[in-house]
This record gives sequence, structure tokens and C-alpha cells, in this order.
Amino acid sequence: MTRATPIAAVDDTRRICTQNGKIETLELINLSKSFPGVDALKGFSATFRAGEVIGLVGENGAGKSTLIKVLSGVFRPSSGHFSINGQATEFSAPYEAEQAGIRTIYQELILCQHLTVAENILLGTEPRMGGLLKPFFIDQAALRDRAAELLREINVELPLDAPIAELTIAQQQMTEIAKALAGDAAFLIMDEPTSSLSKHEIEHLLELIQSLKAQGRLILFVSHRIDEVLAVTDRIVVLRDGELVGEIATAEATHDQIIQMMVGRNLDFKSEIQSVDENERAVLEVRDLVVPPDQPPVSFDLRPGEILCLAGLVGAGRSEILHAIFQSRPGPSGQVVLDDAPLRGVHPSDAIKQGLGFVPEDRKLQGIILSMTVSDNLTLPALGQLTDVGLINFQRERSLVSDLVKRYLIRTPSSEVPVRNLSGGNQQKVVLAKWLSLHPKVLLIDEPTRGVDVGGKAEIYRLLRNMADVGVGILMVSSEIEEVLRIATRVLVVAQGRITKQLAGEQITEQAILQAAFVQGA
Amino acid sequence: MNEENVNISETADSRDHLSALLHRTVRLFQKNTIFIAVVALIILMSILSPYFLTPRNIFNLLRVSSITGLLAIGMMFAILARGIDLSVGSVLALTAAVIALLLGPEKQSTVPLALAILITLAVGAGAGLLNGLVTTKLHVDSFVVTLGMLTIARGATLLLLQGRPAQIGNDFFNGISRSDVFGVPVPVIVFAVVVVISSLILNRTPFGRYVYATGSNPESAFLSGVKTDRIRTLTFVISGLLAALGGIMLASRLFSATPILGEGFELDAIAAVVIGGTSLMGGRGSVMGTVAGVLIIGIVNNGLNLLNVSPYYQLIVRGLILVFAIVLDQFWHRVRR
Repeated sequence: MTRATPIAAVDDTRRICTQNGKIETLELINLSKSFPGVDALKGFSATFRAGEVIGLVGENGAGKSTLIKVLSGVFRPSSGHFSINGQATEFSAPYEAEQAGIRTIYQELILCQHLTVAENILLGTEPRMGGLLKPFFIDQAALRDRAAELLREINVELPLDAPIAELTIAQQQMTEIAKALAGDAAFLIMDEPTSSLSKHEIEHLLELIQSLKAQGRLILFVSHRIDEVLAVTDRIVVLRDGELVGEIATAEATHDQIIQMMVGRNLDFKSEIQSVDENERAVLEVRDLVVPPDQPPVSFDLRPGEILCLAGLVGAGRSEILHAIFQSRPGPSGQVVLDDAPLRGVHPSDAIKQGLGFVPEDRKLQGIILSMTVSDNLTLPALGQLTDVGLINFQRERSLVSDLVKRYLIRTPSSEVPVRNLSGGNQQKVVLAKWLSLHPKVLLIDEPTRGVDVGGKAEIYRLLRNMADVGVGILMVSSEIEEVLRIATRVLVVAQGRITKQLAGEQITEQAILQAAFVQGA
Repeated sequence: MNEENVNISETADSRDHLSALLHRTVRLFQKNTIFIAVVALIILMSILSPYFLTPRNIFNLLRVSSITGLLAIGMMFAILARGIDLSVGSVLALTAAVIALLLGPEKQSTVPLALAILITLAVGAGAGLLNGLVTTKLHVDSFVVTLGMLTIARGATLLLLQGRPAQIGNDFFNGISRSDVFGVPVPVIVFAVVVVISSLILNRTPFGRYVYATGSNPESAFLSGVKTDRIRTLTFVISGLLAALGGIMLASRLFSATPILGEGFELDAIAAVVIGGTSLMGGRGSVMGTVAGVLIIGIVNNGLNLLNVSPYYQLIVRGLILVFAIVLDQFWHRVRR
């Protein structure tokens, strides 16, 4: 179990806690986690005690997920460590954290869809038949009894024999909690547990958290919904840029105060924003666009030369709006008018023909084709225009590619290498550049600098600025506040699929964006 | 490894040189494994059997291989776009039956030959179109769809032929497969033309580029404006069309169509494509690789016959070659990392 670790100086006393004991105290000492180019968590220290509910808050990218993953054994800390009941501990895999009594309930539930509730609850710890049959057979009756007992413990009624796929999200969540209790979890981490629950279900969950606390368990409640954090926790820990900003007793905290703690960073750049003539005709008009299955309708205008940013929290429904405009997901309704012509069609190629370009969120899965060359990627949308009598004119293709590589500062040994060999920033420039040759009127761009290093970011901002300067309208989704402040000419804050605030010019501040993004009273 | 052989005074420089040379050799092999294998097999066979390298045997080998080859090229298109076409053997039988019935057993056919051929090709393309539409529009895995078509087309063949072979009386048609141009058999010429056109389509047309893009990353391709459903459907149409061409060639060679024609041909086609280095995950593969795969299977079959190896052993050898080809391909991939 104790595997050789790459860290040479592992203390002998720092053993893996394999006993399923109670967690009385959990101390996090100077925990850090870095990824190439990013310090996701910087020297985080805190002490949690049994019978506490701790709230963990912070904006997108503040380091909450990283902290959760370090605690649950998915990541190893780059430095620092934590100790359980005073004993130094480390995990090299999630199951070791589980053995130590730490269970994480992720936002995306990970249950076996075709097994029943009872089977899921006791997965891996099924009661066995007696005697010779023990190695082979599960005692079905005992399995149901034990599952029922666990559900009674948390005061939840679920159909024991129903497959998970037939349950609601809330019921699945309850199953996860019962499963965690089956493993006798002393420390429960809940990542955004209320994000897909109804009001009534949320109330039930919050009650359940209170009763788990009364049993002496420790709970880490991670949520964007400040009101719920205030309602259920004892203490609140605020993260910003991977650092602990502060800790506050819930009884003394207010909504505004927490927002205030999440904000307040020093911005060391000059804003490059240029104003756009208010009276100019819109290049893109979106009217009552309804994104399936049930987002509320949105309407807005985009003017030429404008960088309009949809800001808000991850999961607020912003990417879906871009996909709906680009016709890349089935079934949106409403009207989109591009340069006075209503956008019609059922396929991205129709949107492209009318002058749209789209840089999607997940570069590797949606933006580029990793195994194809830089050149093939750059000319993919424009290929139809590079042909003579149906055959690709390689000479014209090459000259277009070398022009794009130069103009977009794409650093690559040759345009014939697979695009996977390039750095994240250069890959992103490839995705941007491939639209340029089509001279789009509007560019949709989702998280323009995700996974891009600092230098690459600056270059991408400049390229976007240049495009806007020649009159392209840019509709951008960004979860990085700094980026929004830096390049957006206007900001629409989206929360739960609804545009809750419009900000322009001087109004664009971190405070204002976060106030609108963290909706009160969900 | 042979450290004692390396002169101690040798500098790091020359060691770099050596490793660069090794690297280049590895690359050369991994890029051309398949072609080297073809040449090695030819050398091996000509040593083992004096009859192997005679023009008569070579042309016979190519004539037989050209049918598998047509199916394999179609199969390659389907696989490149992340599909697979299990129905090619049955579609070949169905189209052979169609042309046999259109031409009839008399010397004078009521249907003109050109029209009969066109109708037959349309039947093959139609079967492919059905495969493609069901796969893309109803979102059913092509493995299942074409497995269904495999059975349906076989059933349709049996129905058309009433379970009996159908003779073809048209002398000109029956002569196609036997005649040659400057000594090269017509089926081989047909296959060569298909190879050239396929190469051109894959490497020089937007459609070809879209096939690779769709197979490599359908989502990225879709978001770049590629009509991925249409591309995938068209690869099945091509596969069906080439199966029909194979059916016509085979019917001409046999002067007839039989209900059991082409059974198991889909497996030979898949084996040739895979041996030729096409990834079953789509997006990677080439026409020349597939041609080499077809040749390897052809040479092995032909060679084992010449060497009087029992057909039972032949099956085992073919299976081993298929698995070995995949293992080798995986090995080269790991070396590159």
C-alpha cells in the first residue's frame, strides 16, 4: 500500500492512515499544488474539527476544486501536508482517502446507472453469504436490510430496488450520501450539492447536513450559493487565487462581506478597452433565444468592433447560448439576426456561411483536431474556397497557411507538424486563425485563454483587440474576471441562464460582476 | 547494449549520431513496415516456390486480390470516418444476383449491358446509403446497422435467386474478367483505377480531408462547419458502390451468381484494411497501406496454396497474421513516444 514516492524526503512517521477511525481533527498545513504555469493552491492552512460544517467559497478558478481533489486523494500536494488526529497522512489514490474516512460527493454524480439503489449504496462492501458460498455469493436479503438501515439513518426514503437511472438527481444524491455512510465516512466533502436541486430538495439536503453534523461528522460544503452557505455552515473559508483570504464565523458573516472577501485583488494592467459608438447598428441581434431544455429566453445586441462578454459562474448557461447562436446544438428557438439577415439553417456550416466563427470552450475536444497538422487545422473551414475543379490547390493552401501563421504569431517548427505538438497558447491561436481567412462578421469565443500561459494570453488579447478594431463583433464567454476587466467593452452577467445585469465602461468592476453572478436567494 | 564494442574514446557526439541513426531507422521502419513486409513476403515466397514469380501466377494472384481490394478500399473509407461496413460481402452477392438476373441466361440480353451495370451499381450505392442514413440520422452504431444489412442483403439475394445459382449468357460480359489489356487482366486494371481515384479523393479533395477530420475528431470537425453526417453517409455509399463493382467483376468471372457468393469477404476486407495500418478508431490510414494489406493477404493465400498447405492451416495462419499486424502497429506507436 505504501508505494515508493517520487518525493525523496518522505518522513517515516507520515504514514497512510488505513484505519477507518473517527476523524477528530483535520489539519491542513501549508498545502500547495502547482500545475505547469499555474499555482492552483498556495500555502493553504486550516484546521477542521468533527461536528463542524465548513463552507468553502471563492470565484471560478480560486482553487476550490484543487483543494477538494487534494483532500480526496486525486492530486498529491506539491508541498505541505495534512494530518488526521495529529498524525501526518498522505494519500496516493482516492481509495486511500476513502479508507481514512474521507468521502467526496462530486457535482457530477458517479453512481452505476443500471444497478439498484441498494446495490449502489453497498458497492464494494456487499454482505456475503455464509460458509463455503462466501467467496461467490452476495446475501441479497442482508444487502437490502443494510441499505434500508442506512437510509433510515439519514431519514430518507428511496425505492431500494429501482435502478439509479430512474431516480431524480436529488434521490441520486441521497444515494451517494448513504453510500458514503456505508463506508462510515467521518468527513464528507460536498461539491456544489445544490446546483441541480429544487427549492424543496435543497431544504431537505440542508436538514440532512445538520443531522450528519449532529452525529459528529465533519462536512465541507462547497457552493456558489452564498445564502445556503450562510444557512448551513459554522465557519466559512474564502479562497482567492489559490490563497486563503480569510476565515469567518458564519454567525458574524453577511452576504456582501463574503463577496467583498472574494474580490479585492490588485489588478496590475492598464485597461485596453475602447468605447464603441452607442448608436451604431448592431451586427448581431439576439431576440428571445431559448436554449433547450429550459433556460429562460435571452435578448441582446452586439455592435461591430465590440467585445461583449458574457460573464458569470461556470454552469450558468453561457456556453449554451453560444452553441445556440452557432446552430451547433439541436432545438434552440428565438431569433438571431446577423447583419440584418435572419440567421437560418440547422447546421454550423450555415452559420459559418452567413459570417459567424466559433472558438469553442474545450480546445482539444472541440477546437482543433490534435492528430492533424497545423496546416490541415487552419484551412478546415475554408477548404471549399481553396479548390480548382474540385481538387485542393495546395499552392494556395500553403500560401494561406503561411500568411495565417505569420499574422497570428503561431510558433511552430513547421505547418506540417501535428497540432498536438504545439503549446496551449499556440493551439488556441490556430483555432482563432482558422476563422480569420473567412472574414467573419461575428466571432463567438468561449473561454479564450483557458490553459494558456501568461505570455500567450497577452498575445491572444491583442489578436482579439485587432479583430475588433477592424469591425468584427466579438461575443465572448469568460470565467476569468481579470480577462473580462481587461478586454470587454460591455459585460452581460448571466446567472442561472438569465441575464441579470448589464455593465459598460466604468461600471465594469469585479465587485459589480460578482454581485450579479452570485444570485441571492436561488 | 554492446558497450564493450564501443570505443572508449568515442565522444558523446558520435553517440548522438548513432542514436539519431537508430531513430531514423526506426522511423523508416515504422513508416514503411507494411511495404517492407510485402517485399519480404515476395522474396520469401519466390525462394520457397519457383512457380511463385511466374507472370501467370502473379496475374492470377492480382486477379483474385482485386475483388478483396475493391471491398477493402470501400471498407477503408468507412473505417476512416469512424464507421465499419460489415455488409460488403452480402451486398457483393446481392449485386451479382441483380446483374445476373438483368442479363439472363440467354446470349442476347433484353437489358443493355451498360444499363444493367448502372442499375447494379445503383443497388450497391443504395444499400450503402441506407447504411449511412440509419447510422447518422437514427444514431445507431454502424457495426449494428451493417450487421443488419449483412443479413438483409443475403436474404434479398436468396429471394432473388430463389436459392439457386443464376447463369449469365452474355458472352461479352463473361469475357470482361478473363480479358486483358497488354497482358494485364481487366479486374486488376479496374482495381488500379479505383486505387488512383480513391487516392485522389482522399488526398486532394475537401471531401477526403473531411473524412480524416470526421474520423479524428467529429466534434471539432462539426464545429468547423464540416457536415459530418453527410461525410459519414457518403463513406458508406462508396463502400456499397465498390462492393457492387466487386459483385459485377465476380459475376463476370463465374458466368453466374450464387446465393452464397462473398460469404466472409467482409472479414478479409477488414483484415486487409487493418493490416494496412488504418486505425479502427478512425482518422488514420492510407490507400497505399490498404493496397499493401490486400497484397499481403493475397500473397499469403496464394503462397500457402502453392506450398500445398492444408486449408485448415491456412485459416490459422491468416488469423495469426492479422493479430500480429495489430501488435506490430501498437509496438511502433509505443516506440515513437
